[in-house]
Amino acid sequence: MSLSLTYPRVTTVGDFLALLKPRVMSLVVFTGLAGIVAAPGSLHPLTAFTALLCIAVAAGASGCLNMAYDSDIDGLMTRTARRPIPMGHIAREDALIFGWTLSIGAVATMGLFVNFMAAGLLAFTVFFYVVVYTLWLKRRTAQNIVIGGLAGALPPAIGWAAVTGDLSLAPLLLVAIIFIWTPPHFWALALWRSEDYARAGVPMLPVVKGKPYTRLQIILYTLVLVPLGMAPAALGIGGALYLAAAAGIGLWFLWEAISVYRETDEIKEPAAHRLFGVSLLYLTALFAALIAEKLIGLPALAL
Amino acid sequence: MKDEERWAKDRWVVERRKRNIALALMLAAVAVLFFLMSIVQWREHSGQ
Repeated sequence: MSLSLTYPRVTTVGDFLALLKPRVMSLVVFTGLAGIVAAPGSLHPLTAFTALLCIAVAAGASGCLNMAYDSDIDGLMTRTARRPIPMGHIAREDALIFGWTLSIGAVATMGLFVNFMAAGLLAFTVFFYVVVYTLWLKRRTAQNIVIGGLAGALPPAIGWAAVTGDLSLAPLLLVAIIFIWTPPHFWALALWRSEDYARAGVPMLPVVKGKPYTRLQIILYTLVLVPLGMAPAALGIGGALYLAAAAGIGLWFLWEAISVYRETDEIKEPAAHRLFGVSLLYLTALFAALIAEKLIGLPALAL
Repeated sequence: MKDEERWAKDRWVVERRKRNIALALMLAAVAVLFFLMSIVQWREHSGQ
């Protein structure tokens, strides 16, 4: 009998952490923090920490469930083949139990220690990402990430609701920014990963409608995103720093989107790589500016 | 062969112990958080 069969590889804490998609989780926590900081009113620091922890754990659990339900196609794509389930480090059933336990735990904790509005929004976010996006839309329509993007857009509203207990136009505007940002961000990735998606049978826009149509859609969404990204300054949520970041990096975003539209290298897609990076920088800069203004005490513009 | 098997077993035991300690510490951290949050909630509801 071989040694590996006698003593199989132990599933490590690192494997479970990898299931939580830490990089996605960090962006979600960041936008959730912006919602907490931007909301009017105050929250006990430990309650704010608990709210952020619940958002982080629920986001990680959603990622874990996504990996469990998509483990059959993850093994077929270069980008996802080294995830813990296709690598055989964790059994799919264990990942499902882990993911659902964390989801329920995060929502229950949010309801118990923060408020029911935030808990309800958190539960809706997990449901939307796992059931609506992963199980229903992802393999059926090229609009998968357009509609499914709502789940990733909701954390600022959850953070806001954790402080105020309700919703208003301001947090919904932050949600709208991430919602419109998501398609050009993921379509940039899909442009250079289109063969991967085609092999796995995932109907991403470049696979179904072709690259020229995807490039046009990226431009159109970016044209909506840039002014929308500046709108918080007009509504009294953001100040001069926010407006400068939204306008400056927004124009850079648009410039790169135009480069993607005019791209001729369909193999390496260098413009799409750049757009993907700039899109991450854009969202980070917007929410960092929002947080910085509140922490420093810079006044909002309210144009 | 016996040395290799013993080495494999020792490594397996150590890795499993490390994982279990890490999980226990995480659970303990959650328990402490729940305890502290209970105090925060109690103080807020009693108006202190």
